[in-house]
Amino acid sequence: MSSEVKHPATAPSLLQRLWPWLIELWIAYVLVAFFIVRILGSGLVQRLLTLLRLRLAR
Amino acid sequence: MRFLLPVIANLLLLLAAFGFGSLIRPLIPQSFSKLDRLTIIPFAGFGLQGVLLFLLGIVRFSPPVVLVVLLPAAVLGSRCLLQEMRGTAFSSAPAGAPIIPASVIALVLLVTILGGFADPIGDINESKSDAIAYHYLGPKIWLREGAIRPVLDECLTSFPATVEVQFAALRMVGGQSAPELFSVTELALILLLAAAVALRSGLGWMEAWWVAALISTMPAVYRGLYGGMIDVIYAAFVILAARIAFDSVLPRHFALVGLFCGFAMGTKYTGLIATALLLICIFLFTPNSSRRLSWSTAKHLAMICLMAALISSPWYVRNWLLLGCPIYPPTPLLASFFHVKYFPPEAVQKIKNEILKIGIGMGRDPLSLLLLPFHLAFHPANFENGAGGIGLVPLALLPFCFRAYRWERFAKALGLFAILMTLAWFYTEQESRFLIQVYVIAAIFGVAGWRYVVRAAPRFGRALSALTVTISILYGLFMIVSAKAGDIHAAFSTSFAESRKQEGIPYLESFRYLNSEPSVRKVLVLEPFVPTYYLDKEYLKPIGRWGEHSLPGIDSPGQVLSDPSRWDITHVLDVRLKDGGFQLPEHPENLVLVFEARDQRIYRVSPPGS
Repeated sequence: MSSEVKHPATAPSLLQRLWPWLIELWIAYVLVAFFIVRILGSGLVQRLLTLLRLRLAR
Repeated sequence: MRFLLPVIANLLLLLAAFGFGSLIRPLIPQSFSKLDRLTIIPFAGFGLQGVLLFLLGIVRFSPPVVLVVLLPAAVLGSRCLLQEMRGTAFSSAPAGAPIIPASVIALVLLVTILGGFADPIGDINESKSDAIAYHYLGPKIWLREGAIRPVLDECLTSFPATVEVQFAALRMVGGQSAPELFSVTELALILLLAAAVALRSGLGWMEAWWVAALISTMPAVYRGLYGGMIDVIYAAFVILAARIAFDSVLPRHFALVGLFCGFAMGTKYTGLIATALLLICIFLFTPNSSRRLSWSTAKHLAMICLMAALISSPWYVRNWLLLGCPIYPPTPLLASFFHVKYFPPEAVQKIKNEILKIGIGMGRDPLSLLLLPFHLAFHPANFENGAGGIGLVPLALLPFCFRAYRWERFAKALGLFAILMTLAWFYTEQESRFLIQVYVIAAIFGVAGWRYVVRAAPRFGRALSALTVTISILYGLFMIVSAKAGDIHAAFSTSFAESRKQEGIPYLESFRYLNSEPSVRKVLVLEPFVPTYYLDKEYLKPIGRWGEHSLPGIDSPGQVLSDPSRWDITHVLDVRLKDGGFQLPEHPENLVLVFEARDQRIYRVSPPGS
């Protein structure tokens, strides 16, 4: 029986492969959440949306 | 002269701070960079200057006293500044500043300079303006009375006032807008400090510039440096104490840490908590301590406590002797141990309730703690004085700082200190400006995270993080410029300044009458919510806005009116608050109506037979 030397796996693990994507997803999530909460939710945009709704309802 | 005097006053104060700061140069660790020294020296100077002016001011606080302190110190400061700037001040800095962050910082500085020339405006009802209520009221009255004493009808003037004492000096030299212009000095120095700490935390010069740009555009940080706010200078004292502590080796280094802890405690009561937390971090991160309290560590901690107590004790001892309690206004617990003067139990409860109401933030349950980073990023206005927030960098990029660089002891200790301060803030009073020191540290670690993201996610990471930084800066700039637009307009347009005064100063007509009429010597103010900052004459307010009883044995203004000659009252100001009535009847006895405007009446005291 020949003795085989087992080398540790050199291929990146699943987490290592996903890690850049996770980073990008996290930052994108923060940006989108900011846009929704702080920009769309701001008083100015809310007033504009109300005006638009009233105009469309007429 | 309107612009020149405030500038001269601020330059004098800054140079004097360098002068006093030069005295502690032997205590600065040798390993510290020129930039570190250029931040430590002026901040230490402001601390020492505040303590010295206070100690002298207890006895006498007059223009000669202030000038005798400031002028020689300014000469010494000029010499110190030349020495410190000489040679290789920024030799490790790359030539030229990166254009974008430098432009952002320049814009914020410009806005601060221009807005700094406006006269302070505001109301004290519903705690709208702390500056008018006490930060600027105390200095004005100390100068008028020639001594630094707590204003008994406004208990918050008894807070430790290392910075406010210097507002008084500024006001004396440069007029009433000079303290407002001090925000420029504060901003420039906190950015230098942030850059110095960023460099020590392992970032490069370019990244240090971005840290400074991000901090300069955090509206929640900016709020702590104008309008009489002292939170940025307090935050600087705390950060400097930590900065020096985590690199201290010799007893003299720890003495310097103690000095800065003392300055923090002499600026805000929360300095007591920050000092305790810093001691924990020093103990945990002392090299070779093996987490056991060795004799040398104990000596160093004792040295810090001793110096801090020595520096801050004047404020606490003064309060104990004059007002009955070292921490004044007291908490209900302290009020049960000390015999508190001028402050009835109802007032103690009222102020406690108000603090609880203001400091509730978005809740104190474990879920709120978990969501705190999201709340601070997306709902900053829910924290008092937090409108505009701190941008997106702390939430989006800070989580990756943990993989940004090999964490050495300094960064670990700084991180733990920030976490402990956040926890203390969360469970005490969640007012945004009380967390400025953590915001500064968060910006540093956020930029470290940015560096990692660019490397670890090369596909979109660079663009996404650049977008995050851009949005944070633009949104912050928008909030800061819109908050200061009125001040800038008022500084350069007398007609706008006048209309702003008409709108922003309650009972302006009465103040103008009282200030201009020579026969007015001492005014009895009946309504607790009248902002007496605008009154240039001596006054008596028997009941303060928190329920303070400024005259022992007097429970209502009516009791003073029964014998006005005893108090040397010449005039009485009666006003009508919203939904309320005047306190005096239509034709009060022994009083002659001399002035009337909407919701305001002024009476001349006319004793029988006069």
